[in-house]
Amino acid sequence: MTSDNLLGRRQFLRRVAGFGAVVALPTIVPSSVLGAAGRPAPSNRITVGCIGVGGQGNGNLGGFLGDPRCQVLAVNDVDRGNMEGTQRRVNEAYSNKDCAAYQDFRELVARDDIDVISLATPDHWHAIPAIMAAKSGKDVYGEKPFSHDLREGRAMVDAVSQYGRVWQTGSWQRSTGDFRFACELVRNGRIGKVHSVEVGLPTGGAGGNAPFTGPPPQLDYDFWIGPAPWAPYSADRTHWNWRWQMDYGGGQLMDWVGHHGDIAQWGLGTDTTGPVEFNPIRAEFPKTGIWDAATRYRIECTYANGVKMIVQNAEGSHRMGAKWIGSDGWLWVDRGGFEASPKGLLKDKIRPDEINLYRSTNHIGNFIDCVVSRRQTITPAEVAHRSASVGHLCVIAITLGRKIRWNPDTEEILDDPAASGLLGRAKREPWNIF
Amino acid sequence: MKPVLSAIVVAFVYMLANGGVAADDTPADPYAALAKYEFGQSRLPLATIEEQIRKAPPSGYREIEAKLLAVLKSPQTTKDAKRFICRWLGVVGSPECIPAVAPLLTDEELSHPARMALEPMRDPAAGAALRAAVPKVKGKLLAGVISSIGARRDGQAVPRLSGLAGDNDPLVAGAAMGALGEVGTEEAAKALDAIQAPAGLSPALARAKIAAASRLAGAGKSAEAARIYATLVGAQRPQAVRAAALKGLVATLPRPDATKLVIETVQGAEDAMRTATIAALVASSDKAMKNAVAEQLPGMNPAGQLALLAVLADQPDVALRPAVLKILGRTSDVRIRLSALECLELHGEAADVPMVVRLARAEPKVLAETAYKVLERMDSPGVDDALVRLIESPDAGDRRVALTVLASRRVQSALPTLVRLLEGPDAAMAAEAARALGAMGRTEQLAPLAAVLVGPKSAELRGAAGDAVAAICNGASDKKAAAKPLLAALEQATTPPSRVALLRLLIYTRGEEALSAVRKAIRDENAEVREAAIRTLVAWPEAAAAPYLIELARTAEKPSHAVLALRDGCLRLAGLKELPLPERLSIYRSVLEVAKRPDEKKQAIAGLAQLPSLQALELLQGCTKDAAIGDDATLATIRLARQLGAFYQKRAMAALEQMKSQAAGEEVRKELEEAIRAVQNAGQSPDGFLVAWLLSGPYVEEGKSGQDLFDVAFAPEKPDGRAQWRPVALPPGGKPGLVEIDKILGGQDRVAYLRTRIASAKDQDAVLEIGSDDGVKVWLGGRVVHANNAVRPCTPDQDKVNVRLKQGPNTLLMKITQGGGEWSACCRVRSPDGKPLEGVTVAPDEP
Repeated sequence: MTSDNLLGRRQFLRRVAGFGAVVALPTIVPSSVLGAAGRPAPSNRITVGCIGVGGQGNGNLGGFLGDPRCQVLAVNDVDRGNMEGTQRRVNEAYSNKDCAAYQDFRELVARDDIDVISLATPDHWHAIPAIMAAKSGKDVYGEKPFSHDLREGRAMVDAVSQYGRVWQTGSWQRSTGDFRFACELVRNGRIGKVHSVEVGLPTGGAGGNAPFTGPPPQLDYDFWIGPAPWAPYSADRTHWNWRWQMDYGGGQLMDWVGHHGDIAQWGLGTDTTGPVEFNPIRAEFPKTGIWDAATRYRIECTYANGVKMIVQNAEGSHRMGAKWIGSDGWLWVDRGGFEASPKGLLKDKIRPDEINLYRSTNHIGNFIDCVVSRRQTITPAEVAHRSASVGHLCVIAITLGRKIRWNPDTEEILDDPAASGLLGRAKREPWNIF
Repeated sequence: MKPVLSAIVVAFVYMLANGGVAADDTPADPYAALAKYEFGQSRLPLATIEEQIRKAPPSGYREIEAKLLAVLKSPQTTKDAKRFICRWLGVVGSPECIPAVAPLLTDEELSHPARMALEPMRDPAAGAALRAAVPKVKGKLLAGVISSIGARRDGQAVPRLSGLAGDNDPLVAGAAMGALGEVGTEEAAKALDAIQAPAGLSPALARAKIAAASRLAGAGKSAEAARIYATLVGAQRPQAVRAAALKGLVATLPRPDATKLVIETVQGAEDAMRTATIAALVASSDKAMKNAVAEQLPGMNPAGQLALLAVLADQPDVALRPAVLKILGRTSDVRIRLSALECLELHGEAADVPMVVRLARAEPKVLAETAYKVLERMDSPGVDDALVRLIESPDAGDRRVALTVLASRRVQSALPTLVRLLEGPDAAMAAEAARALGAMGRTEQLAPLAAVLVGPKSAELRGAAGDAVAAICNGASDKKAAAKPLLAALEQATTPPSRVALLRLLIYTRGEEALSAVRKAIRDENAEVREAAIRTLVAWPEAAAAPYLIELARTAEKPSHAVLALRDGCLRLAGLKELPLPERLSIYRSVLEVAKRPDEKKQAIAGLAQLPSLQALELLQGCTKDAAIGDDATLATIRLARQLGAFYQKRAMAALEQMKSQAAGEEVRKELEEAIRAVQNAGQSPDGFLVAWLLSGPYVEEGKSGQDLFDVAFAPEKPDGRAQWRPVALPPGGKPGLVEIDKILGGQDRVAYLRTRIASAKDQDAVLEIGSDDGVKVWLGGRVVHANNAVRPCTPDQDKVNVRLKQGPNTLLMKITQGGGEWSACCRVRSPDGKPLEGVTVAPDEP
């Protein structure tokens, strides 16, 4: 079977490591360690199947095509146009006609000769393929936000853990730019005792007024809807704009919490837990059109130790990115933006004996390294689940318009049955997450 | 129909469609409107009800539930309305709603919405309703009801689920098995045991058993869980299932059995099972088991040792050290030695430092490198002290390793020892100490290092001390404090070599006092010292040296000093991009005045040609009449005018025209013609993208989003509006024509304007290919030619706009809205058939 061949092929590894490590050492496994330079022989390559090959899926595909250790064998999408276009792209990249294409992801997951899955479906279609892939012995590179609701997120983490799989989330900021350094500065007390962190995410937009029509012939629309509640097709419903509809995505809040919220948690050192209180200060929702996610929003979250996380759409002085504020200063980081007070912090150095966070400079490369070594990736399932959970609980708080109290250890909402009911969603038949 | 009348009709129809709209746009009775709701109508009544729910505390839910139920039960209510109602009954509903909702479970379209109401409801009555529906549905609907029962982990459903697990429909049977796994009670586990699944469903059955076992283990029923896992590890099972079962076994077997299983499997032949065992060990919180396994490590086979060492390296709560030391003592297998060594990072103690230091000098190289890494990161108490003690080891190799590691660890407590060695009798040790001080010393150590430079010491030591001083000063944040000990030493220094050495190092401290000392030394009685001082001034990193360098150039006795001062001093400083423009200009101006040789003047001209400033242009123009450098100045002026042409079109053109009138050679005339043409068309790239603009903004209005601001007129679009404009040029090498407004202005919920001028030789048709993030409104010659209030990422040819250019200048104005995230725009001018447009030049007017 797959895993057997995988590890047997890699006897030349310097070490065979375990995964799910309690403490993740900051290491890069250099590709030279993994074998001779150049592309491994076909029987030694890590085989990849892509589920969901729209915009983001094609972006990620580039990373897999570019890694000589991998071979992409199959692609899947419910939109035949996306599927066939991507199949052509893979065949051109390899100069052959070997790439398979499926409109039903289950056919891809059933293949024993596929080692890993790249998953880039809309949010409402994350859990089911992810769990199926894990339970059939495949490792997964899955897009953020981790899950569409909190309960299925926990089910995904459990499946990955029970079946011993490697998971990487598309929270690629951890592998680029100044994000890691910023978190190391915070974790090593350079701004003193942190009392709050501002997480700035984009403002949402109203819209979705295109008329309802029949779906285009290349799209298997019933499959696209999948486990979500049925609703008729419009050009504003699918492909990119599903993000602004709560039945498939979670608005700008959920789209971005897996980036800046994830970084904020990394800097706080709360990767495996979360806030205990979510207080919605304001939220505005569109009144018309099918895009129903909140446009402006502000939720003040509090951790057990009193630290506050303010999740807000970026406006005024609350900027996009993550800004930690402590007793001795502050640090703000975004893509292409890094500021601190005192300014000298930007030139500081972290000593070897201080907290050195997991080092990765290539997010997909790190995933493949860990597929080989079986070590924990830089954004494993539990971590992604926790940053997504912050988002989910913020959404519940603004949906019900009241403060939510949360126990991150038992993963229960306290004293609020209606809110607890929003932690999971009934899946449309015949889909379930077992 | 008359306009007024038709407007009334439209409004009336709208009102009907929306169930009566009140003056403020909120429906008067959203529930009435809801009852008639169908997809395609305005969502407003639904959004209104959602808003009511949002504003209501749980105590208010009864009232809302009652209203929703009234609509649900009404025979006229549409199906689409019922979908909405059921979904929200999942939030505000109580057992009151079950009688109305449960019957919907049999409806093809409403079964799922009904489950959205019932599945989250805690009350057992909801579970009863779902169970009761089982005999009434088939196929997909039954699978759905089963999945809700499973999600609720309804233990009472086990007998029913057990029966369904044998259903002929694999969809139903599979769902029932999965649901039993979710329920995960002992009864459910027994039911799963009893199932004889057909081949196609045996993977589903195995997964359900894994799930059930996991739930049992979580409930503390380890023996039962272990029994189930044990049935699933057999070699005939799929790999994924075996691995999960093995992992489960390690977690649920009694400790001695789990330990034995781990020790056996980790040394076994099957890689996948070894990996699963490792994963289980890592996930386990049984410290005693992990210690028992660790104890057996030295006796295991290589595969087992490698696997376990790698994973236990990360586990601080395992007593791994004894095993690691034994293994390091016994084995010669490099891979195993490496893995064992790495464990010392977390598990090593101060007593292990000498041994690891020895390994840092051993073969093979990969082992030595790992030893260094371990020494750098070992955290145990006493490690620093152990390293400091090794500084004075009789073994030179040990000393070297200790010093390197201490520097890397920045161990402050080593500094006194290092200073003692620096000042001690052993010159070789002193030099090593100096090198280490270079890596980790601070301002406090500058005095003893400077003293070395003043005293009669070996060349090697003086060299090392000098380098250390340079390194420390470079890293010092308070440069003034760093200068003090050096200046004090300079006062004390009597011999020329020591004064020379110290003078050279003042470059690293910079500052007023240091500069002052250097200037004083230029008048020193000793020629060597004078020479060193001059060279130091010439190399000075701050612009404050410039006036003194100019003075030196004017008054120097040796012509070579004058040249050095101008060329390596002033011109170097003027070339520093981080200096403010006025300072750079002033230095170039002085050089032009004072330089005797044309070489330095020409260099100044070349430097001025790079400064994007009108004063630089003026200065250059002034030089064009000079006999020696006139030609260089002319070419430089042309080049600079071309660069400035994008924003200072008038003045650039004036300069170029003036030079045309006095130009002699053919070459120069040609360059001038080209430059004039380029400046006229500075706003356009060769393939038609607009690359130079004037930008005005941001404009905001409290409480309005980017989309709201689309139709709010700000100054740039008002006929008499006065706005501030700034020139924006696109850097080469970026995405063609892309103006990244977010990088220039930033912010959310605002707008900005871009303006340029298209001069057309004749009246002609054209196409503007426009991209924007988010929305864009375009005016040409004061008239709106395009408006798209979009929310989207920017790609180059999102909107194609047909326009008519008139002969002469056509002002192009674009308004770009910003919601959040990225904010950008691009525009390209083409002819209607997509080819380049002839007879058109583009340049923004001056701001």
